[in-house]
Amino acid sequence: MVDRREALKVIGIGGAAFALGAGLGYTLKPTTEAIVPADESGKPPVERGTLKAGWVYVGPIGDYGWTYAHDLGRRYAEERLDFLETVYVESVAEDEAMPVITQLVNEGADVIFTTSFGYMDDTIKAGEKYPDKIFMHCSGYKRRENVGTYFVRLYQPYYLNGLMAGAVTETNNLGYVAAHPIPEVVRHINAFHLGAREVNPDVKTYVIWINAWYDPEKARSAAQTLIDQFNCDVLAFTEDTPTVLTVAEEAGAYSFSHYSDMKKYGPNAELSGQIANWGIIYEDVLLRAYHGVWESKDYWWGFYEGAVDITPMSNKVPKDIQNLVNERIELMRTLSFEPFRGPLVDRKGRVRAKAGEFLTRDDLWNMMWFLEGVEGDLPGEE
Amino acid sequence: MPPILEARNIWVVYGDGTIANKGVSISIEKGEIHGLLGENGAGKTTLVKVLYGVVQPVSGEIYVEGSRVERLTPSKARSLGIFMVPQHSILVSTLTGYDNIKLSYPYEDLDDKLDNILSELNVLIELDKPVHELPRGMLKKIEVIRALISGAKLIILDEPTSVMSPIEVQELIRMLDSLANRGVSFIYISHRLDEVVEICDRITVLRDGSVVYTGEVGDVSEVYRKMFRSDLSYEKFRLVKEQFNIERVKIDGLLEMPKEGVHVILGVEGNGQDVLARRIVSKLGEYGFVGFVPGKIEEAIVPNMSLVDNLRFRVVDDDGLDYIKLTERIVERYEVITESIYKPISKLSGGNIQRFVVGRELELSDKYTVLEFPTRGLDMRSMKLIHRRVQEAVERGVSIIYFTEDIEEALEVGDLISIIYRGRLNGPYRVGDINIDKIKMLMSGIGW
Amino acid sequence: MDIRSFLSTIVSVLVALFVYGLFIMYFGGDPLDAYYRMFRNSYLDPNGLYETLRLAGSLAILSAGLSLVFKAGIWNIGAEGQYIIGGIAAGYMIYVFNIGFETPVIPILVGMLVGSLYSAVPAYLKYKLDVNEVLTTLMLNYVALYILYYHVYGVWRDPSTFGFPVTPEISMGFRLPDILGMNFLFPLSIIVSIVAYYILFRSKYGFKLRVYGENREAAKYSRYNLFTLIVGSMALSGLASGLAGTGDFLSYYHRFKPGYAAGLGYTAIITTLVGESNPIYTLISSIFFAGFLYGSNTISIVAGVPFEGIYIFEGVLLAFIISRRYIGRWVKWMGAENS
Repeated sequence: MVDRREALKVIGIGGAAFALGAGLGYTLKPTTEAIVPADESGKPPVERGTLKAGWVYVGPIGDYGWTYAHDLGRRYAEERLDFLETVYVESVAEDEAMPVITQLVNEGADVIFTTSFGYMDDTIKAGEKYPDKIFMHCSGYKRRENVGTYFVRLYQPYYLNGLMAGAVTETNNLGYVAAHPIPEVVRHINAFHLGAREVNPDVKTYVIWINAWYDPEKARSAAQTLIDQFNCDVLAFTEDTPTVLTVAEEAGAYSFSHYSDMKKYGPNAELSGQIANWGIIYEDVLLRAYHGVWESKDYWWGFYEGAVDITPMSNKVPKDIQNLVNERIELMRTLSFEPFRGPLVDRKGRVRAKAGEFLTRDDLWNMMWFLEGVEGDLPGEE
Repeated sequence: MPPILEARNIWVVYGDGTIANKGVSISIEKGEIHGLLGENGAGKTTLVKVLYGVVQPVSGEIYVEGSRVERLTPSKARSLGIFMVPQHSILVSTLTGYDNIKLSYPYEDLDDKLDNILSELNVLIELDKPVHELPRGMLKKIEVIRALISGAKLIILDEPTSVMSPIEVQELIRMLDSLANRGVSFIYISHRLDEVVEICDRITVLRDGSVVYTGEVGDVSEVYRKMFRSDLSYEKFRLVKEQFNIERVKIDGLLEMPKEGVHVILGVEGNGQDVLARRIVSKLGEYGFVGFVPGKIEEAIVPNMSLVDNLRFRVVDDDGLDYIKLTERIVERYEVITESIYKPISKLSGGNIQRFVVGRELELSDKYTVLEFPTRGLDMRSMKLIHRRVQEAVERGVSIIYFTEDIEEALEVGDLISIIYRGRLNGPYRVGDINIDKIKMLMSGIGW
Repeated sequence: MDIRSFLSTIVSVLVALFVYGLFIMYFGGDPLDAYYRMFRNSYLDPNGLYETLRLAGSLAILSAGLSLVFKAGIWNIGAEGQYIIGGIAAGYMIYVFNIGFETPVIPILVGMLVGSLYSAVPAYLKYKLDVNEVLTTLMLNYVALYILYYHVYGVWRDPSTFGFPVTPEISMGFRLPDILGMNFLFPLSIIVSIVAYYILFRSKYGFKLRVYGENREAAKYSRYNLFTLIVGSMALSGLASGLAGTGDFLSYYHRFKPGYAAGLGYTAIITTLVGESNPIYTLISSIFFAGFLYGSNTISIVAGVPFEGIYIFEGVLLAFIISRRYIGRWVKWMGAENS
């Protein structure tokens, strides 16, 4: 039978462990105060010598995709700009940006980056509420005097990946796991197909929507379906996990990295990948803000500005294609080449660009049509 | 060969001064099934607790296989081969029988031992189902097997058959017999004389903490006469209620109820009283309010509510009642000791709660009241008080069904008496007409 | 609530804050500073206070409903589903059936009714067939969630949002206005809490619910109508959940998104348990939890704690709240053993 003394002993041990835990907590706390406490005086950022920037992320920073890439950008900026202090909040639901923005402002943020399309309305609202703060919304199209937008031309690396896919496919069937049927994703799909078609006119691209940015389970079953039922041997994707690459590795197919180097998820399967250097944009925005010369505008940066890139090409990509890719990169870096150049005909037979013409920015931003050879339903197809 | 277990001159005195065992001696031989008999409160449970090391006697000696044991504890008892199978199963209900056995004997040779025992015994044992799906008889068998696996030489069975069907009882008896032939000893505690006669080699009968008989089973009538106190002068009860009104209300063809008066259902607890009581209450409930004191008093109260609310919940739809006044009346008439009628009832002592509940039901009743063991655990004074209030209720015209285990009480409060045994009723007898010896036999399961 | 359980609630909250504080320290933050900033953002900042009270309003309405069933010992885990389904039902009155004029009243009434029916189904199964309500209500939450997804990703999806899974914004006439600068739901939740308190502690029906909750046997042999107790209390609880769901839709979201199912129905279980199923206390615990839900982002901002941190707080608190009566019993038992 347990008597009271026994019980007290047990409680005593528990209490000691608790105290020890508390002690450890303090020990683990970094002793060097890297972060300067927020200044409460409300003086403009330039005078107090620091600038505080806050990020609102839609996913966890460990997603190895979208949010991870943005966080790399945040760290890049923080490293390069010694006046900069950064904070972030992860996994903020699309309709809960406002409370987070409010708290970021309360905690002294001068510039706030909201990194998901779904934050658009909240970012605009916040811009109206806090006119002396700078907001940058990623992937949206609404702007105000103190609200700018930014995005990268990721379709450029997708186009290059398409060149590689068209060259290595044996079945002539390419697969595409896509998050949501929105112009951004449609643009990526068309760019990928455009590249593939250029080196392999017989190629088809099959699309499956998973209606989620972050859902590894759905991504897995979509990728599996493309391999098993559509006989695809190269898979591209626009969603925020390395799942498709993993599935390709297991099935002996090929795929790509997306937003960050995912090679370790498919050492044999990875041909190359798309990289966004958000840090380049962040550095520019924050430098301007710090020096008081920021103006609301739309950043849409690509190879020319150094905001996108591809990951190193696998030796499975034929040498001549590697040369072609490198050549195209050089051209894009000097604004001498654009993938979406006429003649472009959509799969319903409508001419989207005459020979020699380029698609305009608006064309690209409202793209809700597929090129011929892209298979699969497109909700809202025009 | 020395006895497997011997206790000499055991005295047990509890903290409140009750002397539960007065120099009890008992000895159990190898391979013997030893019956331990006695009324409630005769000291059986105390004695068994001493033998199993749960209760320390103030004096007395215990010998296991001839050697003296000092300060017996349950774990020491088990290591000496003495095991206890309590009345209510302590198996883990969601685990299988096999897993339950494994819990107490987690060794590699479990399967071998189990195979040996089962093939020797030749009884049906279900070990692969969760035990909550099994009938009670099967649980007992599993518990016995579990004790055997762990090395039992003597197994104490406390009321093993209290909720079993007759067929299950026969099965268990067969198993115990064959184990006894293999040298395992048992102490078999029971109220059921018929079983005891069938299964036991020798018996010890306790009364008021002392051994009044030990030896062969012998003459049954002699045994039960020894079991019960003999100081009942039942002649005086012949005088009670000669003018008793014979008009009756029938319930389900099962039980007859006096229109005005007390019908006592007499029997040892665990013979189906709770089920019967609830059936009567729900049947009578169709005619209006039925007073009911359940056997488990905690089912009669809402612990966190005040006394007033504990009255009110019984008649919440009756707007004409002054709950406060009624509560005050009950507190006064039933001598409930409380600082305030607005205190949560759980702050009261057990006896006060019980008097309050009995009072509540009697005061609220105008037609019927069912009292399941209303005086159990109460002191003599409270008991008399309740008997008086019962008579007053009868005089108001209330019909009462009164469950008790106590013959003396039955004769004192009853107008009619029925005996309940294993879910069957025998009776009713009018108090003036009955033969007490016959009642005692019926209560022990003889003469049905 | 007697003084002992009040104290044990406070202690539970403090322990949870302490454990969460260790977590904050591990990530290099200062717990006291983080808590202070959280408090400031949730209650002292006008924008924060608005959001906190909005959340508190939803939680308090949900909790008021849950109090009724929890006091009756019925474990309705389905507030989340009833909240969603109530909102969807209101959506039908706006997106599908055109009643000719714009008013929030009819969608609210329909939402409450449907939430109530959605809750009455498992209650009836419990009453009639003794089906465990924990399982049925929990499962129905998932049914409701997928019904929401069906409408948001499918039939009601707004075509003008580049395929983003949201439904069109409802027009002004359907929206619930702010009252005295507060979201409509907060003042409403005060009224709902008072009504629920009245039902539970001042009415015969509530009295019977409490008796039934504490002693099923006594309620049975006292011939209480178990149908009205089980199905009735669950229907009332569903009514409140439906009101909260509809209210959030009409006063705050103005449209459906996948994130409309934000888990408030689950958090309300905690606020109800912390508030001892007393609608006045649950109003207070809802205000506290709303502040925490809203302000937990501050902890991320100032201390760099990952978003999962809030679950640690909720988990520890829930464990303590649920176990406090056992702790109390244990202490009592230890005392009795030695006396």
